[in-house]
Amino acid sequence: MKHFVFAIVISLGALNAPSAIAAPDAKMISWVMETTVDQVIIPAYENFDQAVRQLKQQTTSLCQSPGKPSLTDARNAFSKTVIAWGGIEFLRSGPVMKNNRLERVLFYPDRKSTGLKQVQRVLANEDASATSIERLKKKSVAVQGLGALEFLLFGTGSDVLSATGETFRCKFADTIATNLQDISAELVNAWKAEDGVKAQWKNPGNPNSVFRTDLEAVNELLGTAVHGLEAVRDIRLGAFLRKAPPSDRPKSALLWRSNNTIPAMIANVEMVAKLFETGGMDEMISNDEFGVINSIKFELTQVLSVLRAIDKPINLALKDADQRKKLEYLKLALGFLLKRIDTEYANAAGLASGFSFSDGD
Amino acid sequence: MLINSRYELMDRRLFVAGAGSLFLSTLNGQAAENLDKSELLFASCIKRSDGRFNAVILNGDADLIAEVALPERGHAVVFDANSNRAVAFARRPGNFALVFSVDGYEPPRNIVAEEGRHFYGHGVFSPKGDLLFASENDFETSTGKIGIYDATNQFKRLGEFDSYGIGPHEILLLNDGKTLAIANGGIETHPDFGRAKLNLSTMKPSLAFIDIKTGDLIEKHTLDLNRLSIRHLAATHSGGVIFGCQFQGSKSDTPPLVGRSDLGKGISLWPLTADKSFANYTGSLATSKDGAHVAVSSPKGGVVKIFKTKNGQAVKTFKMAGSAGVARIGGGFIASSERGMVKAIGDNKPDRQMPFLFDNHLTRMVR
Repeated sequence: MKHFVFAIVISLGALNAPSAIAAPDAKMISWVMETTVDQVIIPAYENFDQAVRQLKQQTTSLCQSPGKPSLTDARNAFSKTVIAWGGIEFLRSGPVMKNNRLERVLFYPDRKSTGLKQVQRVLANEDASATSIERLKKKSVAVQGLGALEFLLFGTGSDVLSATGETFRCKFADTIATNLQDISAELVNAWKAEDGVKAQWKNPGNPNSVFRTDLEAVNELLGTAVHGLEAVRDIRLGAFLRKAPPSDRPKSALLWRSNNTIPAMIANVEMVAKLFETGGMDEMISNDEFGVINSIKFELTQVLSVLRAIDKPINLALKDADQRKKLEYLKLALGFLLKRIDTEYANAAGLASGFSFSDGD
Repeated sequence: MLINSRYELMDRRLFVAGAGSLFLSTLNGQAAENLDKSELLFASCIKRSDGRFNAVILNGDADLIAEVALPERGHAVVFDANSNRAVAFARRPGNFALVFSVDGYEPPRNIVAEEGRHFYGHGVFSPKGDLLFASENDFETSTGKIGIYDATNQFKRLGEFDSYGIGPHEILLLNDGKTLAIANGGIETHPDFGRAKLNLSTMKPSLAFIDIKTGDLIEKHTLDLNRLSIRHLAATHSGGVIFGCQFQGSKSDTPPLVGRSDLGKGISLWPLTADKSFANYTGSLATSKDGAHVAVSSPKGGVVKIFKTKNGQAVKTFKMAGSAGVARIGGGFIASSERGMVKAIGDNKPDRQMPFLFDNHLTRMVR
């Protein structure tokens, strides 16, 4: 049998973060986790909950008093709801990962337009199970949430909502709003319970915490930022922005019917910005003499300003050379930002190999 | 140092063009001698600190013997003792599989995935080494495929079998030499959406056994928990497999992640592997020489755990940050890490730090 005659053969300098940057200590990580829960996560779920309650009021009102004003109110409430959801949707942890809540709120990506086909089938058949909250909860996740509701409020045939008395379409929309209200209440309650998720997130290393170590906690925050930004670039932007204009797919853009594609993406990126600026990820590395945090903040600002400059609906933006160039730049800028967080920040936070590397497959 | 510096600045696009010899190592006298006298070698995909992705060959003492440049990040390496060739597969959803001669006498050959397919990071040679099987994705129909390549004729693609599931990941031949075990992870992906998981709410992982001559399904098993993605495999001496899973659900749930399946005897998860220390993610698996134990790594959990293959009883846990590949050596195991460490599991020898980061797998190559 061969033996290991091991020795340190190579300087580790190239593998690790610059030595001037100190990895965060346990106290700092604990503070960041607590601040993130109390000042980013819970407020975001509460914001979503409030938006959903407004939405429910407006869909009920629409069904009771159909008309253009009530349809406009319902549509506006929908837009506020998707933006509120955008502010927390990339947190893929905690109660949202149970009972398919994540997909029930928003089923996406939907490469084969499963949701649209199912909603159209429900409408065509006036499937009564979709207007019973208990039965809707048992149906496909694709007809339970925001994607389905968008088609009902904005899609082909939605004008019927302002023209006639209580319709099947409106009852279906109102039932979805009820479903969303139930889910948002479950999320808020689970996060706010003193002995619930909140406690599990705080104090990494504590036996009650879901994080066995500080590094696992850091990984969770980084994962939320990295996977969220990857999703914005690869799933949201990549769905409609192709290599050349003839291949663009405006109708593959999430929420294009309600013109919420870009507002939702802004909310997604703002959530990542909040993790740094409000949750305390920007405080987590000390002696940042290489300016990692400043670079991340700069890239975040760049990404947000490009997104805010896309002021046309997606189908028109893709046909406008200047707007399309901005979308292309957005893809690049998201790549720069991801690299900063995935490697430079991750190294500084004590993950020698970067964040994504551990997801080998 | 074995790396030939003139290759340091090599443009990765050369791979696509198929230009030049891509074997980076110019074996110096000592390395050539080490290679010649080494019957036992290990291979792994790695990442260099400058961002380059390569495949490396180490000997049993963890000396770097050779290094081959890859076009992008690789995942697992498979070896054929008949031809002394290895293949490094692209990480999902990559489209390359680089064939290289372990002694470096032949230039590497790049297999590009068929149009409409991408590789899933794993493959296996037939016992005689004449065929190479690769786990692949037919991404338009979201169905798993096993690509079949002619290793005797420039790795020309001969055809494909169904994997009988979505997202086939690791595949291996049972010790009968004719049955292919397929870990269908159940996760749908499409190159249009990067590495995004497209079907978490409806995913249905499975473990399939197929006949490598006909592609016929022999058995297929599923687990009750639909988000438990079956990813990696190790063959048992008695003709079955140990499988390792990654859980795609809530972090607060800790289901068992390792189990066993034997032909004709169904599938079962080992309850004692419901263990927080895996952080819901197993990396790679290897069975011991006597078949009595299996080592399971977890890069996210930072452990290598040893279980009895008979009943899943935990024997020992070794802490190893970013643990990645595991393989058997002598009566024990050798493990690599994404931080570049090599550890002799169960041996008192000191760990060895390599100047690169290991990807998930470490392949044992006996010549």
